[in-house]
Amino acid sequence: MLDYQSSFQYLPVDVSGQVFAIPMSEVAAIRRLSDEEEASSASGESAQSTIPAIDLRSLFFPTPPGDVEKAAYVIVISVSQFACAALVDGVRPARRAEMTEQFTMPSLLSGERYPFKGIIRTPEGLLLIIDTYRLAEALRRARPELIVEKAHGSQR
Amino acid sequence: MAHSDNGRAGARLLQFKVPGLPELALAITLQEVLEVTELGAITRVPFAPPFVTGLGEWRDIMVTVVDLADLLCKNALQRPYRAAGAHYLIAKVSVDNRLDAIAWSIVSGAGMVNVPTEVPQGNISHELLPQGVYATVAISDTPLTLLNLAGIAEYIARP
Repeated sequence: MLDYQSSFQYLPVDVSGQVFAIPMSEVAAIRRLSDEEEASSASGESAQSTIPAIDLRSLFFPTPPGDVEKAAYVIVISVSQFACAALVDGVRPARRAEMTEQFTMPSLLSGERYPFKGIIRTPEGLLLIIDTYRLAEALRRARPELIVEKAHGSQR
Repeated sequence: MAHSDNGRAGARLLQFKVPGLPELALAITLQEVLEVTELGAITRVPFAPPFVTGLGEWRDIMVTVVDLADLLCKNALQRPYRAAGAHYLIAKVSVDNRLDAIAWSIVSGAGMVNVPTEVPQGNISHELLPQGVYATVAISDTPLTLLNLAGIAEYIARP
């Protein structure tokens, strides 16, 4: 089931030629990378902490090194207990998803391995809604250095 | 060959072939068929098994699209990622008591067949996913592989 009982605002982000949705309530900051910054050294900032960024493009669609173009944006994501930063190719203007445009993931594709909590139907196609909590939890287990535990009292 | 009730005796089936397995006649029951139609854009799903092509939409239902040849057989022929104008067979499956829909591309020439009450049963190819197949039967001397959609759904959900 989707967490949302009504419409909600989301940030469409481009990842390797596909658009995904991040709930706006979980976006703490958006930063455009300068031409000089290398994706490998990019980071986000949240509550005076510097967070290493995970490249969503290689995480979602693994490709040989060198085939991935330079990332353009860092999205700082803040969920209940953690903050993490994600590298993406592009960011589009925030949109609102009405209830009639929201769908649950098919049960065949809704196991723990999938960090998605639903689908938004748009005129341009289907967008997977990134489950930032599940993504952060998975990253915390696999790459704890990429996750910052939020200090008490700094929860959004 | 043995004569056996494979759970499909007397049933009406949809017989079809899929890209990548041109020699293999496959079938599911008509009760499992939702529609044969074209699908719009298919959305890739990260972390899905390689045989999952992605997500499609059919009549306000989110459908898991698979490459059935890749799912059933490791030795399926190489072929284009997605042929333009391809037709998809959309079928209903049950996963953990939840109804779901899966779709796969088929080649032209699908048709209905009736399974006689007594039907000779053949050997299932060892190259096929065991839980994806009920049985192979011979109808008019033509071998027909009956798919087990529950087994296929289980394999997609927990590969």
